Amino acid sequence: MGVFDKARTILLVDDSSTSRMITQRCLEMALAPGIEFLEAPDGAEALTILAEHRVDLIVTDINMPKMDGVTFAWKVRLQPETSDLPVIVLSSMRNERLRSALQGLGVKLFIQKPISPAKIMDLLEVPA
Amino acid sequence: MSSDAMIANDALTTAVTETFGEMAFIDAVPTDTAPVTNRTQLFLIEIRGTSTETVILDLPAALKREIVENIHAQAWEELSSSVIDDCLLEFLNVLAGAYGRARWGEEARYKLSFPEVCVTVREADPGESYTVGYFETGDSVFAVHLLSRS
Repeated sequence: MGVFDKARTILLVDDSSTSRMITQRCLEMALAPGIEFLEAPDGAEALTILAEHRVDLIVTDINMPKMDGVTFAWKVRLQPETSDLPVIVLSSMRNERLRSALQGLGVKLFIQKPISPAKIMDLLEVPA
Repeated sequence: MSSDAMIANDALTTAVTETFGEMAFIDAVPTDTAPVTNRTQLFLIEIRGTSTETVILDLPAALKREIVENIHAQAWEELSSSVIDDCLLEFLNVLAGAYGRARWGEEARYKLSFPEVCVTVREADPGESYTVGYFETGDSVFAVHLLSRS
């Protein structure tokens, strides 16, 4: 079972509306039709959305105002209602230390910006 | 040119061609020909790794418009100014990330400043001397200015 297989509602968390739009477009092109997308500009607003909606997968940026992606992933992992949710990190930066920290928080995948449908296709078999 | 300056220039070429191609679907190829238009807008971002590098994208108006329209798949007139600004800043942010990876390696640690718009290159860092690279996209030629400080 791939990480995207059960995703019917995906929460996109990024302070750039352009980045959220590009991510949604790439996921729509790469995945099965009919997926619902919810959006938040930072981790704090994303937590509010998670409290009110059923979400199957989170795709989050790292550098965001109010609450960054690392703190957000940590809070998702702490809450019993969301602790099993798969989280994918999308960022223009990448380094091993950050990667290890996020893997410790259960982050399933790292996608480097710019995202493309081809990058998503390459990751379809990654287990949930 | 020192070997470090050559690495920086190669990293800039990689970042520009990659970001224009993958994000805006525009082929940007290095050229020796300087742009002829004065009607440009300058976008600046600083990348702090083992040295501090400032990159300024010097874009003709038509190319700026093409980047935004390609990314959004919508006409410029249909987009709000806040969407256009967000798009250009995110484009610069991705380009800076690609530059950092090409400059210092995939696993290097570096920080990106918040992107800024400036009027002239000298306004960004008066007295500093930038190296400049030119790229052509078919319809436009644009300049990218690079300043490296240890």
